[in-house]
Amino acid sequence: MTQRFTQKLLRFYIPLLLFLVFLLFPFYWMLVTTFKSDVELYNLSLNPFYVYTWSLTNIKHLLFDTPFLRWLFNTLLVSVVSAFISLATSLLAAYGIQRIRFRGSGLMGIAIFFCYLVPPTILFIPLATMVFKLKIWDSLVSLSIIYPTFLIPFCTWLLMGYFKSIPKELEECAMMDGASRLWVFFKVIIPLSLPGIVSAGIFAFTLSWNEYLYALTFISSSLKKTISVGLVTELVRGDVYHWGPLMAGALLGSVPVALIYSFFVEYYVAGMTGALKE
Amino acid sequence: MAQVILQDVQKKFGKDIAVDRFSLEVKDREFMVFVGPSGCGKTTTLRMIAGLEEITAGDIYIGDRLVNRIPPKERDVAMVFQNYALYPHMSVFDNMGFGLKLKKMPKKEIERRVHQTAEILGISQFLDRKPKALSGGQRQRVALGRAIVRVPQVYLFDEPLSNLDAKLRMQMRLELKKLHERMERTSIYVTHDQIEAMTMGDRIVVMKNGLIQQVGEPLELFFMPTNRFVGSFIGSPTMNFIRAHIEGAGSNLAVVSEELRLSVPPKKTKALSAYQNREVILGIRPDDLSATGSLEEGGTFQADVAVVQPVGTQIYLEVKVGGHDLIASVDAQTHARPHQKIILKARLDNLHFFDPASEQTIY
Repeated sequence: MTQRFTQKLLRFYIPLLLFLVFLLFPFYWMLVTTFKSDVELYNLSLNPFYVYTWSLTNIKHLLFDTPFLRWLFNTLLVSVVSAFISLATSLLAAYGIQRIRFRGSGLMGIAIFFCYLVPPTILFIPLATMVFKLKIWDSLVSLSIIYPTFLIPFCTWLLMGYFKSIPKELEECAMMDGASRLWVFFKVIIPLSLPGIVSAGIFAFTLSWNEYLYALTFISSSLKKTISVGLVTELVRGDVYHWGPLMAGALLGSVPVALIYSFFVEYYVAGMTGALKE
Repeated sequence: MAQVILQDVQKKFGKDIAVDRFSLEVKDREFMVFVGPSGCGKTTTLRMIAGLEEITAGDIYIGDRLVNRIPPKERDVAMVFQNYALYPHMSVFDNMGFGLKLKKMPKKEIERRVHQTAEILGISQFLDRKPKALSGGQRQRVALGRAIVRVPQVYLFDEPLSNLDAKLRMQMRLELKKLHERMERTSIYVTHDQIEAMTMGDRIVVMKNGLIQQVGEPLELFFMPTNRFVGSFIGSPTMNFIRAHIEGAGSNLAVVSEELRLSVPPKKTKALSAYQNREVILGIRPDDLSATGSLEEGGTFQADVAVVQPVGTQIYLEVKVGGHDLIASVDAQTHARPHQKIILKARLDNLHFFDPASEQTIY
C-alpha cells in the first residue's frame, strides 16, 4: 500500500507538481505584480513572491486612465465576429472536402493547409496593401476579415478530422430516408459534431484574442486597439515599463479566455480526441 | 410488384473493377442473399441498388422503373447497415420516426406506426432511450425497426448481424426470416457467412472477385456447385479437394490418387470419360465420409487419424490418406483415436469433379 503510494508519488504527483509550477509561475507573477503598489514592486529588498500590502492602484490606473475597457470591447467584438465568420466558412468547407468527393477535393484540403503554413510576418505586407485599397485601414473591420485568413485553415482541418469520425452510414441512411444533403448537414452532422465545433470556435476565439502582429500593423488610433496591442503601446513608454498596470491588463485580459475554457472544457477535450461515442 | 433487375452492371473504382457483368433478377417478395469473401463486391452491388454508389455501366430496375440516375431517396428502398447507423443524438422513437417525419406524415400516424413496429420487434419499452443506452441486440432491432416502419418496396441488409454474438445472431436470423414472411417485401441480404446465407435465402448469389459464381437455391449450391470456389465456400467443414486422375475405360472408370481409389458413379462416367488418364480435382464433402468396418465395400479406403474433434452431434476427424489431409465428419459414436487407422467410406454419388485448369465442375 505505502509502496504503491510512493511509486505513484514519484512517477505521477511529483512530475505533475513540477510541471504545474513551471506552467503556472508566470501567472502567479502576473497576479502578485498586479496587486502590489509601485513602492513595494520596486523595492528590491522585499520578498518578490509575496504581497505585503494589497493595492488596487494598478487596476484603477488601468481602468480609468487608459482606454482599457474600450480595448476589451474591441477585442471581444473582433474575436467573436472573426470566430463566427471562420466557423461558418470552415463548417461548409470541411464538410465539402471530407464528404462530397468532388474533383480536386483532396487537393483543396492540402491547399487550405498550406495557407496555414505561411507565416503572418510574410503575409502582413501584401495584406496591408489590400487593407489600404479596401479603405478599411485603422478599423476593426480589417481585423475581423483578416483573422479568418489564418483561422479558416485551422478550423477547417480540425473539423475535417472530426467529420471523418462520424460514420458515413448515418448520412447515407438519412438520405435513403428522404433527407436532402443540407438537411442531413443541419440535423445530423452539426448536432453530432458539436464538440468539434465548440473546440474549433474556442480556438478561433483565443487565436484572435491573442493576435498581435496584424492588430499592431493595421490599427493606429488608440481607441481602436485590441488589448494585446493597446497594453504594449500605451503602457510601455520608450524604455519605461509600467509593470503594475501592464500586469493588471494581462490579468484582466486573460480572465475571459480562462472562463470560456473552463465552461467548455469537456467539449474541448472531446473535440480534440474526435471521439463520437454511440 | 417490386422485382429488382440488374443487367450487366459494372462498377469501377478508378481502374479497379469491383463488380463486373452482374446480371440478376430478384423476384418480387424473394429473399435473396449475396454471399462471398470480403472484397468480393457484394456490398458494392447492394450499395448500387440503394443508389449510394453510382454504376459505371449496365442498368438497374426496381419494379418496372430504371433507377440508374434516380437518387436513393426516390428509390423507395430501406437499408439496414452493419454498424446500425443509428443517430446517437436522437431517441429510439425519433430514430424510427425519422423517415416518416421527412415524408411529412401526420404526427398521429407516425406514432401509431412506430409503436406498432416497436411492438413487433419487442422494443416498445426502449422508445424514449438514446441508442447508447441499448445493448447490441437492441440497437440491431431499432435499426431493423427504422427500416420496417417505412414499408418500402425493397429491403436491403448489409451484414446486419455480423456485430452480434453467435447466440443472438442465430435468434435474429430466425426473427428476420419470420419478419420477411410477415412483411412480404423483396429483400436483398449481404453476408459473408455461408450458414446465414444457407438458412435465410430463398436463393443465394455466390460472388468472388466481383463476379457472380453461381445463383441458386441453398441446396442446389450445396449439392451442385458449378465450380471449386462455390464447392469450398458453401458447406462447413469445407469440402476436401484432392488432385487425382481418372483411370479405366468405358463405364468402368475410377478416380485414383496414391492409395485412394474410388470408382466413378455411373451418372458421372459420361462426362469424365473425356478425362481418361488426365488429372481432375476430386471434391468430397466431410459429411459424405463415414466410418465403416470393412474394406470389402465399395468406396472404402484406409486412413490414419491425426486429430479428433468432437462437436457433439458429430466428430470431425482429420485424417491422412497417403499425402492428403482430409476432414471427415463421422458419427458421434465412432471410436477414433489419434495415430490409429480407420476405414472410411465415401458416398460415391456425391463426389464432385472439377477441371484442374478452369476449376469448373465437370458435368
